Amino acid sequence: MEKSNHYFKTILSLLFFGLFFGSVSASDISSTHFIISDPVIGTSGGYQSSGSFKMFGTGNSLFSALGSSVSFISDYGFLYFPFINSGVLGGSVNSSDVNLSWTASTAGLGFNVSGYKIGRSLTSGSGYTFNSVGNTLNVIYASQPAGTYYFIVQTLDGLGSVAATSNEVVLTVSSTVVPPTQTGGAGGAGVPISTGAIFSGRAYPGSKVFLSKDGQLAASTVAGGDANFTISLTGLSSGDYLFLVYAEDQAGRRSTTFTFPVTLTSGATSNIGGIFIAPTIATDKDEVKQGDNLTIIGQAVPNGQVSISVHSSPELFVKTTSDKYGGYVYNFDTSVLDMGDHLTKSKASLSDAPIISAYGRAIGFKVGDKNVYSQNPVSTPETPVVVNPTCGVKADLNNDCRVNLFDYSILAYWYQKPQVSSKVDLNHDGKVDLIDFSIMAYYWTI
Amino acid sequence: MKIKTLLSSVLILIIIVLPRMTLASSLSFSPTSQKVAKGELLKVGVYISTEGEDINAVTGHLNFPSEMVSVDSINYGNSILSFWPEAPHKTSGGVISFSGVTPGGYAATSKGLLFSVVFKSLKEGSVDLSLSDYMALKNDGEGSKVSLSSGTSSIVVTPVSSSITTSAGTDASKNLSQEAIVAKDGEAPETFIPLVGDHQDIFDSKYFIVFSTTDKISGIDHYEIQESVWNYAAPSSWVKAESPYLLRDQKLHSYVFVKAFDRAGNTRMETLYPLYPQKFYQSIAFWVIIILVTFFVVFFFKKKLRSEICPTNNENQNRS
Repeated sequence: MEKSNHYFKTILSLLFFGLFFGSVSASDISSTHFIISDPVIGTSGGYQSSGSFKMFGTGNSLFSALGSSVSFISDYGFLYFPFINSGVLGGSVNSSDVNLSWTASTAGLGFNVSGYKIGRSLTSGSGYTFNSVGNTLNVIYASQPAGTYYFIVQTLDGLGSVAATSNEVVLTVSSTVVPPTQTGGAGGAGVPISTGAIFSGRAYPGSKVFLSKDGQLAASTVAGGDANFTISLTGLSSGDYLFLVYAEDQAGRRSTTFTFPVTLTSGATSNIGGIFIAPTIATDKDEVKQGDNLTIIGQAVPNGQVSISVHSSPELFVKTTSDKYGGYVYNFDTSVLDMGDHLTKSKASLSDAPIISAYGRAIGFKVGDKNVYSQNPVSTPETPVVVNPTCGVKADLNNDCRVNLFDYSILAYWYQKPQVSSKVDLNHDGKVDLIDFSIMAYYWTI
Repeated sequence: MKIKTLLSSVLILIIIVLPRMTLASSLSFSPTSQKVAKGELLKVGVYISTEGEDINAVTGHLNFPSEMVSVDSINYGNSILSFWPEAPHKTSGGVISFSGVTPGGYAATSKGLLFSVVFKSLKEGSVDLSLSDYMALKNDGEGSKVSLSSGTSSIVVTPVSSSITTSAGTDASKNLSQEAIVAKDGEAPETFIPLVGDHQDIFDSKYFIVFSTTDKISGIDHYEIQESVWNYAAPSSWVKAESPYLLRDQKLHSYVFVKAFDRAGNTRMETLYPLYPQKFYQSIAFWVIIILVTFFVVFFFKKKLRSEICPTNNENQNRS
């Protein structure tokens, strides 16, 4: 009897401690790269600041009390911070009216959204003029003069301060057609004829999609959460066009270009659908120690099948799936690879439709005897690190992180001239010729 | 037995080599042969077939007997090449030179137009068009050369009295004339976006503007530019310009209007807003207004002061 009482007490004690410890443990925090077991939630994350610094920090979570003095406060446990996410801005041009709409910003842990400001500029990335628009989620700028406009949306917190900034949208209001001054001629000279094209397809959730017409930017948009995008072009002529589409994922990685010649008929709108932009790709290391893992990462359609090819002898294929944001990660075991240089590329397919993209850009890495981490850190949808792949490329002659008509004009200025500047001689053969233009055309970004 | 082995080897070789030969990139003419009467116009297109290979630059010479045919017009508005370091143009003798690029590459399986030429037949006889010094470059970032072949085009120029000079033939010739092309072009040149910037290797680092567009029907004739502090273009202040164009206003306070003209006279105007808009106090008009207002205020108060002083003087005079 006494023995059974002892067992009963022991079980009760275990239950008690079990319940106690169970109540202390929070749920694990995990990501693709780490797991934090049993985190203890601390207090809200404040910071100390002066004119020249701000300091955030956490202490050892075994301490249960706050430590404080006149000049500092120590908070223990995981800090949490109030947040405001920016909305995703999209836009379109209807005749001379510019329509802007954006998704609502989300806020939490102490912040709230009090309104929005629209920034409008004539240059990309700077020089915005801001207007407060309250809590509305769309705005129409009516009867805008012809030109190219750059828009952003800023989200305001409860104090009216700017807390988040959206993506930039480029919209072009076309000029009006001025009829010829001479009279006569067949075909109703001077009568505007509506000829256009509508482009649709899949990129990556929240990615920027750019469309060029005969080498110059015609329009851009932001793909929706389902990766679908639609771009409408009007005011075109009848004839042959070469359109080019590419996307920039949320980390700023650029896809391969999707080029297609289209013949437009006067007075008709052509639909060019089914564009499926290949995934972006990056690796965490430029050189990987043989046998270590190489992290291959990128963005594709959401919840898609991603096939990754590693060029070796023989070529190796692995598969993974993208998450709801289109992000995919694969840790490739390099023990199967020979020492030396290799290439990897990826393509995507939809799980619910028999559509497969082409392979995207192939990037190189080396299998060696040490790990050399990539200069461009690996970005994930949760912690995006924006890299601009065009910055620093040799074809970007004016160093504006774009390769476009401006760089072309600089090269054309030096075409077949003696004693060319080394900066414009892209293949370093002492002259500017068609090969230099070919190199520039490869790096073209619009 | 040996013959069988030899035949098998040849067959295998043909199977391996033939597809590679047929799939190589090629330049061609269309049509490859035609007949025209002396004095009439004929049109020939120059095309490239890449068979799926991704190319981004093409150069070459089109050779023609200048004593047999003359160049009436060259059109490249519908080309797969977007930019021309050397637009198709007649050089010395019977040669048309061209060098163009297409950003992003061109990899279609069907043939793509590079440019077309309208010739005028001068003499009776046989005319052969050919291509030489041609080259196409891969879209691989290194400018690697593509294996390229070329075709020819044969033209037979018949006497004026020949049966070929039917009304249909004459009509076809008329439709190729500059006048006919211009008459049917009722569409403006394509939209475009002028860009402003500077570079240490051009114009001594001064600001310049670049621009380019196409016209699908009659082709671009020329561009005109106007810089203005006002947000509208004055009708009489246009100057002819070529890209790159050195800007007069190096402070970038001005609106820049760029107008593209096609050969039919249709125009497309694009406006570039001031990169650094002039502050209100930097404008001459502002200071003129300020001076006028100041002058008016001073004048007004002076007059008021006089009218206030004068009654007092009058009162004093009355008292005395």
